[in-house]
Amino acid sequence: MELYFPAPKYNGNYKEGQAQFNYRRGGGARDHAACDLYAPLESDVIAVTDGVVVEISGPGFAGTTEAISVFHEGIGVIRYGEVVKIPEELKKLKNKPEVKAGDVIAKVGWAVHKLSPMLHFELYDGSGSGNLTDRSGKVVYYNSGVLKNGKYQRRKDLMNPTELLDRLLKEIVK
Amino acid sequence: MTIQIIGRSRQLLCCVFFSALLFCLPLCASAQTATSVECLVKVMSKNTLEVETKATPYKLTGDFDGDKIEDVAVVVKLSDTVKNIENAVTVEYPYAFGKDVDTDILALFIIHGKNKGWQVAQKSSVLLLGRNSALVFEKSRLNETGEAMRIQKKKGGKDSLYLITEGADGTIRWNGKKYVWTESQP
Repeated sequence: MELYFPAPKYNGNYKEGQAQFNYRRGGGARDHAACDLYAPLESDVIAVTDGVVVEISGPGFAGTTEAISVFHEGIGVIRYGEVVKIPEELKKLKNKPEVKAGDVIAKVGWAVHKLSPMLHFELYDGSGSGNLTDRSGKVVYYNSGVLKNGKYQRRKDLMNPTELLDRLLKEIVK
Repeated sequence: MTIQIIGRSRQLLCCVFFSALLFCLPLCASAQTATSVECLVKVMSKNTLEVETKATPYKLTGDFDGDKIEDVAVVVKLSDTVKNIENAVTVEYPYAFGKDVDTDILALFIIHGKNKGWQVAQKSSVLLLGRNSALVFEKSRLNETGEAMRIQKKKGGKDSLYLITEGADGTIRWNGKKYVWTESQP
């Protein structure tokens, strides 16, 4: 399987501070459901491997940004969030748009202007169905590294993406 | 004979119709006589807005402007053009997209109470309009269960509205002059 790191111009640390998965947000109201990959504004966001687009959120995912979710065989569903400029052909979900490893699928956006631009990277094992955001407050999580009763406001098959990113990061080091 | 029966039937129908009209009219005739928030919104917006009761929740009460009198915030759908709505009520555009408005969206109508609160007397109202990321305004997701909007109480201060968004969450609060939307990082 050909693998790529999703934000080639990444310049932060997704294991530190509020960029890390599980970081408590809003005074404990919410747990961070992603790893944030800081990168220059409008730099490329690329597909980590081959896949099929399954969900588009926004504009309005956060601020005026969007999110594109892709099912990657052997990995699961990745939601590439806080992005802009998703190609129009990838938004036509009825056509089951396919992406190839390394394809530019969006650009890094800027959702909250006091913070650096970033790619918000969420991972799901793909066994769930429906919207990736679940506001019911009744979700029980089961994947390793995910708090069973965490306040992620996400679908039950949410995963901790840190290990996957570690693996992908080695790809840009090569 | 036939003509007489038709004439009486018409009289009867007219009588029933006008009785029903007389019974219903006072319910929404004025803000003072409005018996429900649905009616109040119609009266105050001159029929340009309608409460969207499918939103969860569609109505929240609190002291949003900090005058210690109860106000109400209601999720509404647009029943008229934006231009006519702007002529009928005070409109603010607090969200990141500014005045980029899709008339198919839902919005938040806030009624400020006076004296004994919004149910008895109304001081003012404002419609917060515009594209935004709060899920409670997405028509396609109204049937989802859960609390998409709630009150954030602050001791000795104003109440704000907490809304869940696709990515994270945001708050609507009164800054003394207007309503401000602040969105958190997902």
